[in-house]
Amino acid sequence: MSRKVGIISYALEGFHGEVKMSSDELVFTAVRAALRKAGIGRDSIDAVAVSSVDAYDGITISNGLTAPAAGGYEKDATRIQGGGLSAILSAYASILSGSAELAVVAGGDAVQYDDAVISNASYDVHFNRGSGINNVQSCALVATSLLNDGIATENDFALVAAKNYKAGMTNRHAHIKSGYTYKDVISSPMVSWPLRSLEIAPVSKGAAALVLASEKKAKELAANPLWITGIAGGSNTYSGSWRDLLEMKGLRKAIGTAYDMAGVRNPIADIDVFELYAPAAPLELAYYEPLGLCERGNASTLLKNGIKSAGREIEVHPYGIKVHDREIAVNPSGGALCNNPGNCGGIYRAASAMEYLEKHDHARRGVVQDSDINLGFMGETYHVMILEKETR
Amino acid sequence: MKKKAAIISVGMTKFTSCRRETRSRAELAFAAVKDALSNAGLALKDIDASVYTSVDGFEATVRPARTLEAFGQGLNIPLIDVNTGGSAGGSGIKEAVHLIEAGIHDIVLVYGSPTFNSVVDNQQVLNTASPPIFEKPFGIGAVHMGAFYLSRYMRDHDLPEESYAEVASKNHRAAARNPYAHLRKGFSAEEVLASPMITSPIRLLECCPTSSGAVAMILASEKRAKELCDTPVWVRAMSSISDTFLSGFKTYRGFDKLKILAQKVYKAAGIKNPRKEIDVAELFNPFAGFELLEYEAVGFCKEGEARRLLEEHVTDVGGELPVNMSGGVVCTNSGISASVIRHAEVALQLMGKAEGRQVKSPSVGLAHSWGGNLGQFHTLAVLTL
Repeated sequence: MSRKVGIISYALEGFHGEVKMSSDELVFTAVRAALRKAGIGRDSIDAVAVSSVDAYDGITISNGLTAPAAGGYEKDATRIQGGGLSAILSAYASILSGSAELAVVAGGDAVQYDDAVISNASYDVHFNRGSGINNVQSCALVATSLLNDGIATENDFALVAAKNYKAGMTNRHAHIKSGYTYKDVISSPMVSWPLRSLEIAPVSKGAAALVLASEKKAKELAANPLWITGIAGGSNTYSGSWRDLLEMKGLRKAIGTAYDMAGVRNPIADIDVFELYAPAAPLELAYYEPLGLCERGNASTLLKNGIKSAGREIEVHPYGIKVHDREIAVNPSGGALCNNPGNCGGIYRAASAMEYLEKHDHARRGVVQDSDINLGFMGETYHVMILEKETR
Repeated sequence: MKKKAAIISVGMTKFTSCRRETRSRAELAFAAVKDALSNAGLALKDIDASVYTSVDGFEATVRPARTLEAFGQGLNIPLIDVNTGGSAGGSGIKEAVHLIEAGIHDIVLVYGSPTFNSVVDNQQVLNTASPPIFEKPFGIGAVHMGAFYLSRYMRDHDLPEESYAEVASKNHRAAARNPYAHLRKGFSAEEVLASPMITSPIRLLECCPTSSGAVAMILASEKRAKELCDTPVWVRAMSSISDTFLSGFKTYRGFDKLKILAQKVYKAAGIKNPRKEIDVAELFNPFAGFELLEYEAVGFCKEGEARRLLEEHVTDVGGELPVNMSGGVVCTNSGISASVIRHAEVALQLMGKAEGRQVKSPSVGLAHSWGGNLGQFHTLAVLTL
């Protein structure tokens, strides 16, 4: 029985350019690439965890299509509807429980959908759905809370969006590589106040796959596996979360548990890279404090003075004062604004964090944060994972 | 040393027709969860994580778990949403078992949703699960999927239609003893045979109804299970299997993938002779005849001998190996709660708490669930005292 679980391989397919494959073809391509990279075939894997939401695939029981494509034929296969990281947790538990030695986690997005309509369909039919509330409007409510509490300004929202767009320019997998500037963002049309169109994530198409392994298998198959040293979830109430949208108690629970598992005491000193799920730009600012990057109310200052992106100083703001003596990258992939696949987003973010850790010798530990807020706030769930280069 | 997981409590509502249901989705969830917590002597604050099982398409909403407040969201505990079609209940329990065996959580709540309450036409929704280019346009629904397997079995084994009626009646008579079941009329084989043909060879009384009701189960780690429960039901082995998506590759010759899964699960559980070693079973039978194919797939008899098992009353009340003493899915199909219930019913039997339908002193049970396009997925669990 394994004491630790490692991620030994990842592969991404699509996202940039025109994606013409169906979801099973996308998943098959990504999983085959991930298995080849790990030097194993489909026969070696024991379990498959697919991440998807039926509505994003436009059919019911959509894992029927993708589970065999992910290598699940005649294997132990499941499907988790979260955001991607919840499927990674499923495979992680499967390996630690002794049920599997090698597991594939995969998801794919191929169907064109109206994310606002799907989001609205996730709200309570009697009290909320009729108001037309959706993902964008609920993210706008969070952004409004940031404004009301004096934590950030509309300028900060545009700045954090521009930071992500700049990082996305050099991410070969990114869907949006346009590198929109602060000026582009602040002058883009208002969609749902205070959110502007360039502060809202697109709907992206592609697939992501990971291969998870027990400690023994990971050491056998990979020269430098990345170990999952912390992974946890949390949830928020549907009705209760209206009271203070910035409380994000479910996110705090997931962060607290994952940090404890990994022995993270001071995230500023202990973490080198964060990949965060912010389908609306202001959410990144709302996460800084729960993640332990700053005190409540200081997200704006941190953005302007301390955060670096993809290893470079952010140039989107004139101040550029450095407050931390070390480099912490937040969304070096460009985040959800540059790539937002609804089914496999969390797996994509994990792969992005892995790529950053692989490419940067100094970087040792990364945090992947994920949630299902693509469907909107209220009743949302969160997951957080810590990845590390070597055994602790 | 591998950690162990046990079922320590079951909470269930009574089941009725979707059309007669007056309880809301939230009320059903609250009732089932409250019952499970109360039976375990626990409060919601004692739960480490919740697993919600359903199929979105049938719920007429997206991710309904998010709007229900019954699973500890007020305490911000992790909520995991499992959807593998009809087998989602089995997949959800497997998820809870893995979380406990991995040492991640000690007490996990599993909820089986009443999937069909809001949908106007189940078959239209299920049709979207079929391969879109070649098969979906034929209008394939659940009953057609069942008919492929059952007509092939009749042909291969020269089975008379009466055998399907007999196994349907066995379930209907069992359901009459189950105070929670939806259809409790106890139809005879003659009544079944006189009911209208739906899709040959399946008659109306061999088809499951669309029921409403919910179930919750609490699973715990070894230490907590022993502290909290006098008769914990241990999950000795559990797994799942996936077939291909495209129907053209399937032979419909028995449940061949369930057979592979059963061998794997029996090996892990150390079971060599399932017919002798298993005392009670709940096998997923939305169409009554499925039960016969399942006897063979899970090794209760050899291929083609299921009819004899039925005729010798081995699987009936008082038999050597009673199967579906709840009345099975054919008498109560509340969607995904029906696949959780297979496990809940076996657990209640082993705990000695199966009111009205109790089998004499069982100690080893088998729980099965089935789902997906043309039965693409199966889960199987060996549960023991």
